[in-house]
Amino acid sequence: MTSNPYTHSAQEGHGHWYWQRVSAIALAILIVWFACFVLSFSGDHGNYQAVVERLGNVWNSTMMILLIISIGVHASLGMQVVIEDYIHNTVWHHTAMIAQRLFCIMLSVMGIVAVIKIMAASSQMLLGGH
Amino acid sequence: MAEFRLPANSRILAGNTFSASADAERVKNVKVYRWSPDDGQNPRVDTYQLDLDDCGPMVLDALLKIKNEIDPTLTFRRSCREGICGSCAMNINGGNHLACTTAIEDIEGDVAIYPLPHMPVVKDLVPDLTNFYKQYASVEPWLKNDSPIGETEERLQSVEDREKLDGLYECILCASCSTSCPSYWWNGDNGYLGPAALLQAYRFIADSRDEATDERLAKLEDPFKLYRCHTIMNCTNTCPKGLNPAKAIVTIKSMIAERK
Repeated sequence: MTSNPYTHSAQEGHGHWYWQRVSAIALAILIVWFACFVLSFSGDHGNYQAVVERLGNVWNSTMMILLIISIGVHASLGMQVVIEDYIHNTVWHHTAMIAQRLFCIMLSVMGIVAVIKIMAASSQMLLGGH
Repeated sequence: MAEFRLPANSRILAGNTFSASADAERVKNVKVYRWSPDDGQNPRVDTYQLDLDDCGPMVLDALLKIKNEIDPTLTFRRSCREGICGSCAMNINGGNHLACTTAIEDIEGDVAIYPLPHMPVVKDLVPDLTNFYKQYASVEPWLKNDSPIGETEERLQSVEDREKLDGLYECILCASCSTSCPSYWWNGDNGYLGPAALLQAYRFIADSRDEATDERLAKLEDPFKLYRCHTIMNCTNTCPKGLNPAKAIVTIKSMIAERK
């Protein structure tokens, strides 16, 4: 950092601001879908087979993957803000930033892989497996 | 890391009490933060019992009465005593206000007076505003216009364009807004310009006579200078002139977004 931090500009910050809002709008829509999806299993409709079957539907699995990506992006951007606000030591700052990025990427990929596995299980069911 | 606790030599101790005269009927306790760089002591809070029947109506009147009649060592800034110079901005009962426009009678219970939060203290109620002025200077608060103009001509502005500066030009740079902002507390010395400097930046961006809008916006696009603002709105809540720095900041962000 220069001796006067007010004289230079990193020429960034807009992207973070923009994607924080885009992911928030996406989440506002996708969470409503997710709530409806979960509620549709209430009462007698809720069993493992029904969930696998319905989540295997292309529409539902697409929405689920979009939800996972939106959560991952929004969470990572949010944690970035917290780290930038409070962790000023350069080494800790970069360590925390890399750690939170990798953590969010890992959780998102894990969620997407899980949905793909469910899709595979669902098509197996449709083909008359179990 | 951000510091969440005051350093040991900044923790506030109990101070002295100056009692009101026995015949005083309307007594108000005025508790004032005291610290001097010269005696090596921790800060303390002194209590002055004032007779409201023998004191002017404003908090600044109380401070002047203390300084003139009780304790001449009390140090604070003041000048115009009518809310236009911005000198007497201080933290009064938990909010940043101008002492000259805050009525004692509007405060329930004791009056507690501290310097503006999270700034280095020069003495008593006087904060060090060096960094604050540096931030102000960095937004280049003057009209930039290289268009040729005749020696006897003026740069004119329509009534509508002039109205766009209402709510911006009234800022008196008292620092109440910036020092009420948590983002400014954590990152004011780390690149964040704070609401006062950003309102001033927008005042020139919004001016139809200024030709440096693109240059100004480009200079502001920085995760720390501008985007540390998380729209907490303390600035707008506390502004003694009723201005809205948060709106100015969000307008700057929108203008940057429009240019992408």
